[in-house]
Amino acid sequence: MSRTAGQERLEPRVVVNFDRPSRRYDPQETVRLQYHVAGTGDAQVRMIERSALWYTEGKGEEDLGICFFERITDAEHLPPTQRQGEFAFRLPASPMTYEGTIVKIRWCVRVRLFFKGRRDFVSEHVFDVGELPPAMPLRQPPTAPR
Amino acid sequence: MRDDATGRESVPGGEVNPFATKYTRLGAVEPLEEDGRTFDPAAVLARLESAGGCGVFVGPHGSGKSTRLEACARAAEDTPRAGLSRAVRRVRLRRRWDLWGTLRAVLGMPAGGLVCVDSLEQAGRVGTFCLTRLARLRGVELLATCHTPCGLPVMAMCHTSLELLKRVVEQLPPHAGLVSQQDLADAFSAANGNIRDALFELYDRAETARSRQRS
Repeated sequence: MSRTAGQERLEPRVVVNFDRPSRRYDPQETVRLQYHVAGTGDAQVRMIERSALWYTEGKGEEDLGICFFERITDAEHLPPTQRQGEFAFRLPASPMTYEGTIVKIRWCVRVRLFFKGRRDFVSEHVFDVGELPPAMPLRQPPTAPR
Repeated sequence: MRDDATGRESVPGGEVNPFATKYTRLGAVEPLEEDGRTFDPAAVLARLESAGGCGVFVGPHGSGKSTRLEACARAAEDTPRAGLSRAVRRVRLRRRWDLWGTLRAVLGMPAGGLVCVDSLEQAGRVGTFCLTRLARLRGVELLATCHTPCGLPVMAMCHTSLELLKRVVEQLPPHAGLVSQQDLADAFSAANGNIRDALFELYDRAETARSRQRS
């Protein structure tokens, strides 16, 4: 991290508070959350993108689907003038959070800050949708039908 | 965060497998030399310029060629020339026909730009010759990866070692209790020194360990 002449040290972080501390939601529910941007000092943020998406995590190709996306460019609603914000979105019926072995499905909220110049900062906060049990290995291989 | 850099923070949920693509994909891991030292892309770009603007990383699968190429592409983007940001284009050759797209990319680049070509061996001898001639005529720099020397100045011969795998794994999220030092050695051996395949193997071992913990 470096210091820009005459400015505070830039160590951005975004604190996100979901309306449900467990961060677990059912499909088609509405998620509401607030966020607070800190550590940006006097640096001018030129744009904030806030989004909600699911993505796959595993050892191969990755996939994702965006459920909510919003871009804020109005300086009155950007740091350093305004450091907090809130948004809400309705979850789709699927996919649900899944802890698989080969692939996992995660849901997250992303808040991305674009600073003047070429800097940007992405903050990602995972939450759960549904309550699918994690994948478990078979204790014994299935026997072939006689 | 550097003044021109991208920063990231992640508040995870669920159980993290530190060897998932999310953490090991191109650009997510800092490129390292075979002995574990940090790779210096600026030094390569300087060597590329003094070598006439064309160069290649040579090495087998999973030896870090593409990781180094990406690091050089980012370094070039972040280093303006004569006060102007530098045009950089990344191309991956999957088959010989992709060469036409690469030639068009070189044609479309302004002088002083950099074209990064992954898997140059797909272009063949004639294709490589045409590509380098066109790049030199256009004043465009060409940096590529190739499995074997192809006549272009070699920027680095890429090799792997168990030490390198350990240093790569140190950059990933914590894996205590999921894989042991012996697992790293076994995965490296099973993958015949291919770091990418060794990380895939470690993903499976971590999942197996986690399943055991759950049950």
